[in-house]
Formats: sequence, structure tokens, C-alpha cells
Amino acid sequence: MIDDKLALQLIRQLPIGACLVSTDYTILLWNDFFSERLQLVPEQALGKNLLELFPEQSKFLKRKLDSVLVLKNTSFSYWEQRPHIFHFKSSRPVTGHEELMYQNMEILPITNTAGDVSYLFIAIMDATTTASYSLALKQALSQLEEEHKAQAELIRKLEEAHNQLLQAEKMASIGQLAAGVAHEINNPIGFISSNMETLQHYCESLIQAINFAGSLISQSNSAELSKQFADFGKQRNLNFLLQDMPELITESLEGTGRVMSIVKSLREFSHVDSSEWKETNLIDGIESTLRIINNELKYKAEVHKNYQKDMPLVYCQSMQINQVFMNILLNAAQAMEQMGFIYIDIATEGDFAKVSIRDTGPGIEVQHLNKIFDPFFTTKAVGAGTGLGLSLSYSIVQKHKGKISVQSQIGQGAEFTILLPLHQQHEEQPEADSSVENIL
Amino acid sequence: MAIPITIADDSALSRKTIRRALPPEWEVSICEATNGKEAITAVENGLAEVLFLDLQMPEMDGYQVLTYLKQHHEKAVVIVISADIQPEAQALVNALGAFRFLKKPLEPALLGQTLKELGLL
Amino acid sequence: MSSYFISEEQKDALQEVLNISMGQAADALARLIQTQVHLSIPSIKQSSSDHFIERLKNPDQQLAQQSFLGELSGEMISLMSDGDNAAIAELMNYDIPLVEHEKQELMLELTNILAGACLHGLISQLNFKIQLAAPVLLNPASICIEQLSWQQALLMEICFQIPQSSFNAEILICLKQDSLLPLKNHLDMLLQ
Repeated sequence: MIDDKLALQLIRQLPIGACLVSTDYTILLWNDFFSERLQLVPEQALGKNLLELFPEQSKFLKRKLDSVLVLKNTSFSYWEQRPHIFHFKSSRPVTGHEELMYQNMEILPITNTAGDVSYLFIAIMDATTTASYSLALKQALSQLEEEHKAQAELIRKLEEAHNQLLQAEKMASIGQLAAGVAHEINNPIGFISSNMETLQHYCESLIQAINFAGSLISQSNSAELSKQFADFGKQRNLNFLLQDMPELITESLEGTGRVMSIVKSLREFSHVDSSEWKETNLIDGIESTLRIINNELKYKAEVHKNYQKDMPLVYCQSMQINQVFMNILLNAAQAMEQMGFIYIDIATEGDFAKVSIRDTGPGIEVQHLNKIFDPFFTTKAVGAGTGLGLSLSYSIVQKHKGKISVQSQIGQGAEFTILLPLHQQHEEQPEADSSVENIL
Repeated sequence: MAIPITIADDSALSRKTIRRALPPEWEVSICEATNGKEAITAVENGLAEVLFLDLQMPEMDGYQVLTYLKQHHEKAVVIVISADIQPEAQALVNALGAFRFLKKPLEPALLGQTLKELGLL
Repeated sequence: MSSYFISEEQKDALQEVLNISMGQAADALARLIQTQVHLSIPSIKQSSSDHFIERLKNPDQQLAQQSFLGELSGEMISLMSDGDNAAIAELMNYDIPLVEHEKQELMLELTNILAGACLHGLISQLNFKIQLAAPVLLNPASICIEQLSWQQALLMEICFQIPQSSFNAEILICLKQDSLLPLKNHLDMLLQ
């Protein structure tokens, strides 16, 4: 059997915090675990009131101790809800990052033979290792969650890029189709035009020949011949015919000229060559774009142009820049509720070429202004717009190391400003980059 | 001459516990009731000079029995033995005319002392 | 209830023991939180495992669990409405409003107090020696019927109400069938 001395020693050396208090909270036992971890020797604790010794925790401790006194049941506290009841130094001063020990606590009632609680035994268990693992696990879990979120975001971006590619491919196909049609029309319209010109000359000669014949007949003094010629002329409406024929030919020539200019614009606009970087006249670009979309514009707005003279050439992918002009101009035309104006200004500004396109439409709502370059943002009816036009424009201008911005006030129209650097670093532009922009 | 007493409790265990706790020297004839109505019948038939009464019972509970006895001026000595030991319950049964209130689980020594105090032993 | 599970006589005795326990618990709780406590008369039920799980999976309640081990082994489960707990927190001498870990602590504290109070009377009247484990929060989603090693269990249900705080709780004391033998033996000793 063990004697009292040995029992006391055992309690002193218990690997848990052991403290006994009376029913008025006076400390009666204070083992080594408590005194060493708290740097509070037994002389400083014994006989003292536990609640007064630890005022910060007194409310909590009193609640716990009282519940054990009344209910005569063990009470528990767990590190997860209350990690540091007593300010014990961490049990892992070397390998751990915790400064304070995580603790579980049990308060047990010690009853006398009559069944009343005479003492309260406070046991503190070190839960630092468990807590540390558990917290690390929790952290790892939240990190995993974050990574998952990042992945989802990446997938979203990929989808967006995929859609942009699809759109770019569509545009490229339309471009190729246009180029093909332009090529096919170009040859026949070429010989029609050339033949018409020849015909114009023939026609002039023929008219001269007929007029000459008429004058010869009138000089011959043969009334019979003159009458016959005049009758024939009347019968065939010769005078009108001679007057109308050159006009018809001139009008036709004008027509073929228009067809040729549209074909030229189409070729300029969609020619594969134009996706290459080259020195470009922005004014030519705007003009050819305006010709292409003339039909969309003419009943919506009157276009006023103000081009700086001697505008320097800009090193760019002209076809793509034309695409940007077209997107902005089409948006302006579509926004216009009644006949309005579009003002196009091209000038240099510092090291940049500045193209500004201003309309007198209804303007853009404030809450839409910062979303206007976002992919898939559109205020048009479902199916009417892809919401990609301006986002593509934005990425094109970005690729040129330029800037695109918008200013608008409701009811005052909108102004898009495109700045393109006048001095592009030629070597920085990748030649055969197969990205979205190149196949546009 | 044995005193007629009645033990009114719906629990067989509880009735058995009270029977066992009765001082062996006390000469009694015991009647058992399992609800309030039976308890009143026992009193009215002279079978309960002393009534050990539980509070929570079917048909009529202990409070209703006490109220009835008070209204009918019955002279039975009622000792309530209850599991509901909150002060409100004690105050109520005292007001209704019970002689004593004893807590469950019943302590035989306390019962003996109570009977002596009441001059029954 | 079949006699093979628990006899009528044993059930009557257990009911009385529980009634007395609840009386003591209510008295102790009222003294602890200085307010009136209503306890229902405990009901004793036999329950199948699927009915038991059904019982726990009510989304509007918070669960905690506490084990007891020793001469009698089982678990207690507290079911508390997931509502406003400010009033009970105040009665329990907490500073309100509660932050999340304090809410958990209150839940565990209430479980320990209520379940402990219920069990204490039962254990002391039947002369069992047991040890209480710390209460832990219980996620009903983590319990599935395939993992349960029993088909039938004895459930003792007690409802708590603190009229002053609109606080409601239920405590289930659960004994699975093979833990019933010591209980039946001790009840028989009481009945002899």
C-alpha cells in the first residue's frame, strides 16, 4: 500500500495540472504542473482564492465551479471553445508556433460520505498537439477550398477565352468569305467596267457619225432624202436615243465604279495581308470602314470628319484597327434613336495617334460605364448582340499597347477615344502569333 | 388496535418502498391506492387515518386530492411523498393542508422521525 | 414492450426512478440558474435504429452528445432548438451577444448540465459507478444507419422548458440492448 507521502508526491508529479479548491474557492492543492507552467510557486497560490488569483477568468471559473457544486457532476471545458484558461506556456516551445498551451479542463466534485460536495478538483490536460494538428488540418482545408475557387475562376476564364476564339473564328470566316466574294466579283466587274468605257468611246463615235450623216443630208438639198431621214429619226425617237445613250453609259460606269470601290473596301478590310503589322494610314482605315457600313449609317447619322493634315502613318494591324472602328461606329448607329450626328476626329496627341468617335445618341448609363468592355456585356436584346464587340476592341487596342476609353453622360451621347502609339517597337510584335487578334 | 393507513401512489415500486420504510413496531392495516380517486374512496371508507400521498398520479393528482379533502373536512393525516421537490410544490401542498412533505427517494429514518413528531408513534 | 426487452415491472420501477431523478434535476437546475425549470415526465421507449436516426435529423435543432462509461454505459444526446439563445445565455451568466465559439460552449455547457442532472439521479438511486466523458457537438449528417451496431435501443426522453427564456431542450438517454442487462439487474434488486 502507498503511504500519504508517496500519494502526495504522485499528485505533485502528475503529468496534468491538478488543483483542489474548497467550496469557497480557496486553493488547497497546487501541483508542479501548475506551479512550473505558470511560474507561480505553491506558496503564492495555496490559501488564496482561485477567482481572485485569476480575475480574467473568474466569471467563467465561478460559473463552472458553481455548476459542479450544485449538480454534483463533472464539468468540462474544451480547447476548441476556450483554448487558454490558464496562461500556461506552450508545451512545444521549440517545434511549435503556439505561445500558449491549448487546454482541456475537467472539474470533478469530491463528495463526503453524506453525498455533499466538499471539494472541487480541477484537472488541466495539455491539448496543444491535438489542437495544433486540428488547426493545421482546418487551415489545409480552407486552403484547398481557396485553390478550388481559383480553379473555378480559371475555368471561367478559359471558357471566356474559348468564346472569344469562337467569335474570332467566326469573324475570320466572314472575312475570308468576303475576300472570296470580292475576288470573284472583281474580275467580271473589271471587264464590264472596261467594256463600258470602250462602249462609251464607240458610242461617242457613233453619235458623231449619225450627226455627221444628218448634216450631210441637210446640205444635199434633197428634200426627199431629208424627209426620209427625219421620218426615220422620228419613228425611232432618234433624238432622245442620242441624248439618253451617253447618260445611260455614264450611269452604268458610275455603278461599276461604286461596285469596284466596295469590292476594294472589302478586300482592304478583310484581306489576309492586312492582319500583318504594317505602316498604316488611319484615315484610309476609317474611310474604308465607313464605306463598308454605309448602309447602317446613312439613315441614322450624318458623319462629320475632322482629319489632321499630314497625319503620320501608324504601325499597326490595320484590319484589326478597322474592326475596332467598325464596332464603335456600329454601336453608335444602333444606339441612335433618331437621326443624329457622328463626329470623327483623327489627330496626333503627344506620342500617340488619337481617334475619337463621338455620337449624339442617348449615352451610356453610369452603372454600365465600367462594364462596357467586359466580355458578354450587352444592353441589346437577347440574341441581338454577342456582347463581345467592345471587349474584342479592348483586347485589340491593348495588344497595340494603346488605350481605349469611353466618356458619356445620359442624354449627351458617348465619346470613344482610341490612342495608338506612333512609335511601336517593331521587333516586339510577334510575327506568327496565332492568337485571337491575328486571325481576326 | 391497528391504525388504518393508505398508501396512494401509481408506482408499484414507490408503494413497496413506502411499505418497507414503515417502522416495524407501528401497528397498521395497509390499504393501497393507485390514483387520486381510489385515495379519496379509501379516506371516505375510513381506511386512511394516515394517508401517504404522491403528487403525480392519474385520474386525480395529489393536489386535487388535498383540495377535495379540505373541502369535505376530512380528518386524515396527509403526508405527501413527492418526486417534485421544488420549493413551489412544497409551499402549495402545505397551503392545501398536508401535514408534512417528504422527498423521494424516501429515507426510512426520516419517515420514522416524522411519524414520531406527529404523535403517531 | 416485450419482456425480453424490459418487463412491465422493471419499466414501472425505471419510470419511478426517473421521476425522482427529474425532480432532483429540476430542483438543482432551478437553484443553479435561479429561475423556474419545467421538466416533463420522462418517457421510456424502445426504438429501432432507423427511427432513432430519423429523430436526430431535424434541421432546426442543434445536437450534442455525451457518453457515460462504467457499470452502465450509454450516451446522452441533447437536442436544442437552433433559435435565439440570448435569454438562456444571460441566465447562465454569459456576456451577450455571444460569438460563435461561445455559442458552442454554451451548447456544450447546457448539455453537460442538463444531461448530467438527469443521469445523476438515475445513477445514484440504482447505485451505479460511472464516469462522464466530455460533451461534444454532434453533426447528424455524420451518423448513418449502416454504421450502427444495434437494431433496438432503450430511449429515455426528457423535455426541458425554462418559461422565462423560451428555451426548449430535449435529452435522450440511450442504452443499446446489450447494455440493458446491468440496468435490469439493478432494477430487480430495487424491486426485491
